[in-house]
Amino acid sequence: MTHERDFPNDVPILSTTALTLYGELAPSVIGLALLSLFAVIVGYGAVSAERESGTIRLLLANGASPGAIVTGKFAGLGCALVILWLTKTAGEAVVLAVSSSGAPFQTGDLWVRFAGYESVNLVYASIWLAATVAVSGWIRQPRVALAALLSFWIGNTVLLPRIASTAVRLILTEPSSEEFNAAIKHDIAFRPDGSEWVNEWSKKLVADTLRSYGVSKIEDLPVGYAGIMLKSSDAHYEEVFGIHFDRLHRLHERQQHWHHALSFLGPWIASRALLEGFAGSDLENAARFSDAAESYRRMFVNATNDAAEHRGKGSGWEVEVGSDYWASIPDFSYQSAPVSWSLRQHALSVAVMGLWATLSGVGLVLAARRVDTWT
Amino acid sequence: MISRKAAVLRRETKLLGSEPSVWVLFAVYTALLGYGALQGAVLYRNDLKQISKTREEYDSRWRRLSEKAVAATHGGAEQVWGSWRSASLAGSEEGGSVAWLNPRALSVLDRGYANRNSFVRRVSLYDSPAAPPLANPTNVMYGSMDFAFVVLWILPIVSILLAFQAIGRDRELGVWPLILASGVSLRKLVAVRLAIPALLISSVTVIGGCVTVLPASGVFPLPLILWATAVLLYCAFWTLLAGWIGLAARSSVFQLLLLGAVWAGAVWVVPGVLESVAEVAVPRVSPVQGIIASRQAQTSLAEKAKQLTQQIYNRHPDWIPDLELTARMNQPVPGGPRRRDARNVYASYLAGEEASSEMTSVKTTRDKAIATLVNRLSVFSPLVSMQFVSEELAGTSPARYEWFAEDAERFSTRWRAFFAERVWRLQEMDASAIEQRPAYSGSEEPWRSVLSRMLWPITGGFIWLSAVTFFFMLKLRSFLPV
Repeated sequence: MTHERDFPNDVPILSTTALTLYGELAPSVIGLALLSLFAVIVGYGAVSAERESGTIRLLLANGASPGAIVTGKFAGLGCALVILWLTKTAGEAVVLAVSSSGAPFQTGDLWVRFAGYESVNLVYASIWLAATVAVSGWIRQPRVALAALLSFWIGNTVLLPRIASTAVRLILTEPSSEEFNAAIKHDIAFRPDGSEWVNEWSKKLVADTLRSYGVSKIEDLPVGYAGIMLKSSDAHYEEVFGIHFDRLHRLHERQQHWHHALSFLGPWIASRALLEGFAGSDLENAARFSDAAESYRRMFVNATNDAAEHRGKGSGWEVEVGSDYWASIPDFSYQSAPVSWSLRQHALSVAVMGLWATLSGVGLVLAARRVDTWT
Repeated sequence: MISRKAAVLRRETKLLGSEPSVWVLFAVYTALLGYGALQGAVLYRNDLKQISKTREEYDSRWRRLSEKAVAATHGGAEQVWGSWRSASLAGSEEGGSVAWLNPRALSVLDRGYANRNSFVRRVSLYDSPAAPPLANPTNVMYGSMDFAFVVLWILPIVSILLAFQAIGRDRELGVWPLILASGVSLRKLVAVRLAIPALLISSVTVIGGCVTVLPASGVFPLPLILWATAVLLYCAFWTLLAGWIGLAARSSVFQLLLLGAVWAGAVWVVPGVLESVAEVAVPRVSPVQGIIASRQAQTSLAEKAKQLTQQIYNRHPDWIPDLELTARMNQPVPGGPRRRDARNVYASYLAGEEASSEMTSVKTTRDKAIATLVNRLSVFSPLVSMQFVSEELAGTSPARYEWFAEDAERFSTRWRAFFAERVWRLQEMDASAIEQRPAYSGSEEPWRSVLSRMLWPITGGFIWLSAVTFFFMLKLRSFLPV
């Protein structure tokens, strides 16, 4: 607890080994990657294999409409996909129940978050299955359909997120820690006109304080000048730190928006962002927690400065406080954001997922028409 | 004989070139390499700029301090620099110094840990902190996409796609018996069909690497040759693997699925599993443990600091300042900032450091144990072996940053020794003392220790290459007619 805002040390992702440099193997990654890959592998030949083997004619001759064939394939394979999803969900529910029992933090909406998390997985897998069946209906050779789908899978799962994250960093580069520190130090020490902040501030504060208490010397003050001085200097520090941290957070947010905007090229980024939102492990939740911790720090420091002002006297620095002071400082408590807040933060991702779901649905309709032309 | 070999080579090259999908694949691969190269070049320039900017900033800061010290010596306005406070201020962040790590030219190709670490480290009397990176954690989580990523992850896909149907396609199309009947040397045919794509991919990669490194750094670094050799061998591994599975599995779809699974397993699953193994085998010191240790250290800090001061003066009685100076120093200045005895500040810092040294030592030992374990585990994955070799050559491995941190700490010890005596003595800093301050000249880790770290990954790489060559040759022998 100092007079300055702390930097976010010990960010878990930054302390992993070199093995995760090219992306971590988080459960969310495994879930999305495996479900979509499963959809591709079971679905790439759904229609095209029938076409290649000639059995599609048999189905059509028996009165099955192209729409019914495509829908039936989607529904049948969808059942297999749902079984896989249910297995995964059940396993994760057990892990979550075991690991969250006795947790020291609030888990009120844990299962609502879990339901949202797993729904994203299911929607993502369904988009992939619909797209796979649609491609299978459009491309006549199963081998080509598989190659096309795997290419898109690699592009969407492997390349797009990395290209997006590195591209936004090239365009919107964050300052280095050194630059950031130096800029804060400069703004603390100097005014915008280049004059030293401390000289003017010190003179004015002494004059204002003496005038307001009607005394001529600091030693005669009925309150502790140290507290008054610390309050004033902390206000300056908070303003400078606030400006720079807000700027950094805004930069990260802009990076995030651009990153998410690129999810129009593939649904992976939007899905992962939503998963992080439901898990509460996204940038927005981290920033919210960081701000809450900073508010607590300010409250604590202000209370200490208050004590120095009201319990001190004159120019002395030493102030003794009793248990009443410590009892007046509340413990830090943090209430995690409700799910609705997280969803609002990820409105763009929800829209992108909706767009991809619509596109894959349209793809199914078009695939049915395409099958119709084969007759 | 030569003309026949040349004819096979020419024909196969023509066949390969007539495939539009091959051109598309190469175009995509080259574009990705280009993107990685551009990014690497920009970030390398940024790193160099940051180092020179920070050094310039510290130089100009010290020029200002020297001027103030000279002014103070001649009775000028800057009295603080002619007072007992000057050593404490000059040694701390008001002055301070900077240690830096020169990025190697090959870091253009492989950013490695550079995205998580700074090439610059502040050095101060009180602390030599590694500034926490300000990178957006989400960006770090998604993984980097440098030139090395394209080589490590995408080169295997291209190699697989170009090599897996070396024989399988003819067999699937039903022309394999015709080829057998034509009397072409099948060993040569297979060799040519695998060698041409592998050489093409390797050449594009190596030329791309050279074209990126040379203009960005202006030198031809020797490790580039080693890196090119590693790329060639890595490409050979994936080509032979694709050739082997292509010979072993009959259906092209099954071959592709199998190779896809091997690729995903090698590049994604195995590194993740190895990370988990390392975490379970050597658990890290959690940040919470660190915070608790630090808080516990704070509770008895004042007492410990007092004891430490006493110990210092017992050891160096000639350092004890005269009483008049101490009394003058402790006299509060009405309305001015708090005058803290520099010795108390420094003693508190040393006491805090000593109190948390146990936890720091445990953390450092564990981190080193994890690094050693991860290095050894690299033998279990061809990708990790290649990645570690590439990072070591590029100078962006975590171990090099660890070495830099230790080097900066050695410099920090010298820095402290220079200023600490003056702080204990409450001695003034004059202009000549400022000129004599320790300077960081920058040094480079000996190549011998770099090579020792490369031993395990290189061994792993050779084991994987030998194994796949053996199985490929075995399959080829059983596949071809005697």
